[in-house]
Amino acid sequence: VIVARIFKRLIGLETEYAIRHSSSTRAGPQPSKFRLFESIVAVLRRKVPAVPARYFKEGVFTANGGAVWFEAERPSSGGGLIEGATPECRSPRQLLAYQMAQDRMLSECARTSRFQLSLIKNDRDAADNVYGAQENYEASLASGWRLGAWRCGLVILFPLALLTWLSILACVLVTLSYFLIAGLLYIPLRCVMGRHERVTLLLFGRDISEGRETCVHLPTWLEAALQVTTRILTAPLAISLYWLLRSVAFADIHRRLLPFLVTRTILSGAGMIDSAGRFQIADKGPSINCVFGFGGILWDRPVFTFGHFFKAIYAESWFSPREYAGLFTPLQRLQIAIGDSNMCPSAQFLRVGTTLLVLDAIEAGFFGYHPRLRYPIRALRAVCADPTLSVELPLVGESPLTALQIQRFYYSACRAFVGSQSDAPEESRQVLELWRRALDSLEQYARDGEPGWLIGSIDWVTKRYLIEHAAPDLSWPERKKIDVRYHELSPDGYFEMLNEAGLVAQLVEADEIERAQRTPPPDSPATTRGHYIREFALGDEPLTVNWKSIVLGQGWSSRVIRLNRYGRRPVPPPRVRSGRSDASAERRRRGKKG
Amino acid sequence: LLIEAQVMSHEVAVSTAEVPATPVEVRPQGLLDQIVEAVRRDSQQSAEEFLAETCVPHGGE
Repeated sequence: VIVARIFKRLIGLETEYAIRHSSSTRAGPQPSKFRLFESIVAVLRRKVPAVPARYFKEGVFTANGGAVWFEAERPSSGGGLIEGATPECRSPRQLLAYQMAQDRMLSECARTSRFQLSLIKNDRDAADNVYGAQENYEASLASGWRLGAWRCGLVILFPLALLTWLSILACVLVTLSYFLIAGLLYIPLRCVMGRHERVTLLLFGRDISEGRETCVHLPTWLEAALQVTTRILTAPLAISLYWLLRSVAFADIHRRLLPFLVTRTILSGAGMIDSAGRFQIADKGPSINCVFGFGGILWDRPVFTFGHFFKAIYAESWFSPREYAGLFTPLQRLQIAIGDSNMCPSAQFLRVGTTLLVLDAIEAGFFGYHPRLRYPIRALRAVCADPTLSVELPLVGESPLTALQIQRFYYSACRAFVGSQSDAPEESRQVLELWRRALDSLEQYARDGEPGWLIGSIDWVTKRYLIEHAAPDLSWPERKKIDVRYHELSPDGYFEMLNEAGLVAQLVEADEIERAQRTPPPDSPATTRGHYIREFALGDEPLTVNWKSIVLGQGWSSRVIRLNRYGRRPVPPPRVRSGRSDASAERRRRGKKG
Repeated sequence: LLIEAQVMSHEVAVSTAEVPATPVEVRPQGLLDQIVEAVRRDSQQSAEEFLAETCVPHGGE
């Protein structure tokens, strides 16, 4: 008898939203995306308690334990996205409520910001820039000899990490020296030329030339040069870490999960019109070019991304050696980058719920046999390009199977797994029921083209229906507009129109979503994080937060609260200074509001 | 179709014959048609401008 833990691990979603600043509401020059991000965060901080993030990118954490970030590959170009990260949850339904709360909260803030913005929750723009969603699942990195090899590898890598930090430090010193020399040069230049905006911009970047915080701390040319230099300097560490991870990390999970993830596209794909005008089942899938990678560091777009391990070593451990020590523990974050941002609640519930069930079954040792794709990336592209669901995928040592048949295999295995567990939560049966219904409906859709229940439940079928019925004879830009505007989080968004008309299957009550905007989930690091944020966001004592710790106060007198021990002890009461109490904090809050 | 899966000691056999028929949903087709018509009208207005406004060069990770 296999005793398993179903829906017990921590899970979370990261979602990138494109910011749309309509020309009809725009007056004057186009502000940078960072300015737009700031305007959204300003409204957010008026709506819910929020505190600054203690991280290497701009952002805030909110009272529900989630975070909002500014994401930009090259900030000086003026681009960027807003990213929402849900708090750490335990079940797919809980995660769905927090994701929907985040969508609603950010879209309302965007709409009521001073620029009257809207957010697009998609994965690819009309120029084929790819961004979007990532899924995070707490999972066992390895056990036995593999865990030993991982730990030995980390010890061996440490001198290389140290060398990388020193070279980055040298880079920082060179940059500071540059600013010193540029400053000395600028004084005589200014005497000769007067205050010259272009020269200031060229020498110091937008932050200094505009005299305000723009998140662009470097001139464009220096930013590009530093980006190339750091990639070269970190390459030996990145390559070594990649091979270590590739050899030992999540080996069993990767192997057994991959065919499931490739074919999961038929459930969770968001649909897309490609540059040739063809309909693809997934938005992000066609751009995936490898199974493993760091996710964008070397133009790679992997199914499984190791980028967070690399960041933990080269960026976070530099400031806090504890981060490096944390990598030795067996429970780590499995990050999946293949999925699309879903609009339909059912598709999102299925995306996370089915993956959780398969992961739970794998970790319980339930999977003996599983189909193995001969060419996983080629198979993914074939699945994405085939809305008829008839393409057969070559397997290793077996006859080819369609995506539907492979999904049927995983469904039946998970059904047997859940059936074998006497204490399986009811929610796992709900996932199975919805999974079966979706597969049946897709089979019928493939047979006779009748979408039925799939409209408002599965994104790619819903979007395909709209494009085929609203724009059979329209041009590419018009069809592409339907593709993109389907994802707009505003009353003008096409999915939102279907939702308003009651054509979307609902899984979460409105009051659950409302609660999830303000309250963190229980039994999670977010519980403690949210507690401190609610208590201190409006107080005088500075509070900064990241995913792993909370820092109360400033300088030498600051106190660090680690979040890795949540659940082993009750939420610690916040330190009370100068006779402060919850009641006085509440009075202070009211006083500020009034 | 018959997929036979040896899952540890459990034998899992699924055939399409076992799969219950998909429940037939009655959808308000008129409502859906109205939305399709609204989408058709809107998609033809300033499509290129909309696509330019939603582009995010050098965006995320």
